[in-house]
Amino acid sequence: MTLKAHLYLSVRNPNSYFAARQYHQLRMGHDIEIDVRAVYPLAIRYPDYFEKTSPLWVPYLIRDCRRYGEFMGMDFDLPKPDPIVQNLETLEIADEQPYIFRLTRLLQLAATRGAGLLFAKHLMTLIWNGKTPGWDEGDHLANVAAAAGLNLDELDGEIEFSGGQIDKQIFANQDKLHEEGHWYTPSFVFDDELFYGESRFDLALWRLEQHGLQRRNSLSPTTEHGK
Amino acid sequence: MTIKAQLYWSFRSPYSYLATKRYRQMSETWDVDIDVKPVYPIAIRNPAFFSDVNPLWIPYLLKDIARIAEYEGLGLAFPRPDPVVMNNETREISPDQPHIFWLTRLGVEAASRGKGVAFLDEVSTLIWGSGVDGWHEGDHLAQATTRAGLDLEDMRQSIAGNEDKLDDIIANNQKDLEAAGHWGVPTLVVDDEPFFGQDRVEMVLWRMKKLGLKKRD
Repeated sequence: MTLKAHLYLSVRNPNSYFAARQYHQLRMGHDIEIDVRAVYPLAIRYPDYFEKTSPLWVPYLIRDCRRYGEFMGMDFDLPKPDPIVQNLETLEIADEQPYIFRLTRLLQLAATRGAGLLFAKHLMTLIWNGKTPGWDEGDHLANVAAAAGLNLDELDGEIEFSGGQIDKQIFANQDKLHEEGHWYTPSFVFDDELFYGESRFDLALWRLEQHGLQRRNSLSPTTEHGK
Repeated sequence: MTIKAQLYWSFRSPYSYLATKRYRQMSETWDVDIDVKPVYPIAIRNPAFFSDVNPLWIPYLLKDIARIAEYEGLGLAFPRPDPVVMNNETREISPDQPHIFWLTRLGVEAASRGKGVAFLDEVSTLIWGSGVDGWHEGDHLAQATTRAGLDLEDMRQSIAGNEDKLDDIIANNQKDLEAAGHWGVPTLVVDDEPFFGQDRVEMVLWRMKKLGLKKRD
C-alpha cells in the first residue's frame, strides 16, 4: 500500500534543503507519496524573530549546516544571492525582496502539479549546494523546472496571472502547519504525526517502517536506514 | 591521545537526559574524557523564556521526547516532581525552587570527583526515565548516586557551606557555554566546536574520529 505524507518546506531554510534531498531520496526508493507544501520563510512570516533570538543563533546555524552537509555527503554553501535579502551580521531584512515570492510561488505551483518534491530537490540544490553563484541568472531556473517536467515560462505566466490564488494556498499551508503542531520547516507529517527538522529523518523513517513502508522495486521491507 | 570534551547540561532538560546515555557509552568505548559542566535550566536563567516561546513548542516537545526515548530504548515519564517548579497553565516560574539548585550543585560536585557523566546519567534516568513518583524522597537519589560510584552523604557534606563557590562554577559554566557558541543544552564542545542537541551525538563521534579518537584499550 502506498503511504502518503507531506513535507513543509521554505526555500530560504538550509535545513529544508537537506530535507528535500533526504525525502526525495526516500521517495525514489520506496512506495510513498510525499506532497510538498510551500511556506514563506521566518523572515517574511515572523520578521521580528531575528530580533528576539539569541545573537548566537545565526552563526551556530551556519556552522551546523556546513558540517551537516559534510557529514551527510551533501554539498552546502551560503547562497549567492540569498533568497532573502538580509544582512547576516545585523540581521536586518531588506524592504525589497526580489526573489522569495517568485521562488515560493514556483514551489507551490510545482506542488499543485504533483511535481513538488522533485522540483524542490532541484531548486534547493541549485540554490544551496554552493556550485552555482548567480543561480537566479541565465537558464538555471528553467533547467530546474524542466528537470521536474515543468516549463518555467508557463509557471511564471501563471504566477503573473493568478499569484494571489497561489499565495492563498501558501497561507493555508502556513495555517495548516500550525494546526499540525509546529511553525518551522522542514516539517514532515505522516499519519497526523509531525517530525520537525532534518535530524528527525531517521525517526520518520522508523515510523514509516512500522506502518509497512515498502521498497519500490522488491516491495520488501527496508532495513538499510532503520535502527 | 585522549580527546577532551565538555558537556553543558541541565537537570530540567529532557533532551539532556536523552543524550546522556549515548555520551556515557561513548566515553566508555572511546578514549575521550567528557568533562561535565552543569548549568541552570533556561527557566531559571531566563524566566521569561516560557512566556515568549511559541505555544506550540511544549506540546511538540512532549511528543518528540516520547518517541526519541522509544527509538533509543529509554524510559520516559514526566518527572514527579518537576525539577523546576512551574505553573503549567500560566508557565510562571515559582520563586520557591526546592530542587534545582541542590541538584545542579550535586552535578558540579560529581564532576569535581571525576564521575560527572555517570552521575548525570544515573540521576537523569531516575528523574526522567524511571517513572518514580517522588524521586526526591526516600533513598532514590542516594541509590542513583551509588550506581554512579559516588556517595551522596559525602557529597552533601562537601557542598554544605560551599554553595556560593559551586554557584560561581555554575555561573562560569553558563558564560563558557555562550563563549563556545550556544546557549542551549545539551551542548558538547570539542576542539572549540559546539554541538547542540541530542540529535548531534553521531556527528560528535564523527568529528572526534577526525581529530584522531581511538578506542579505549
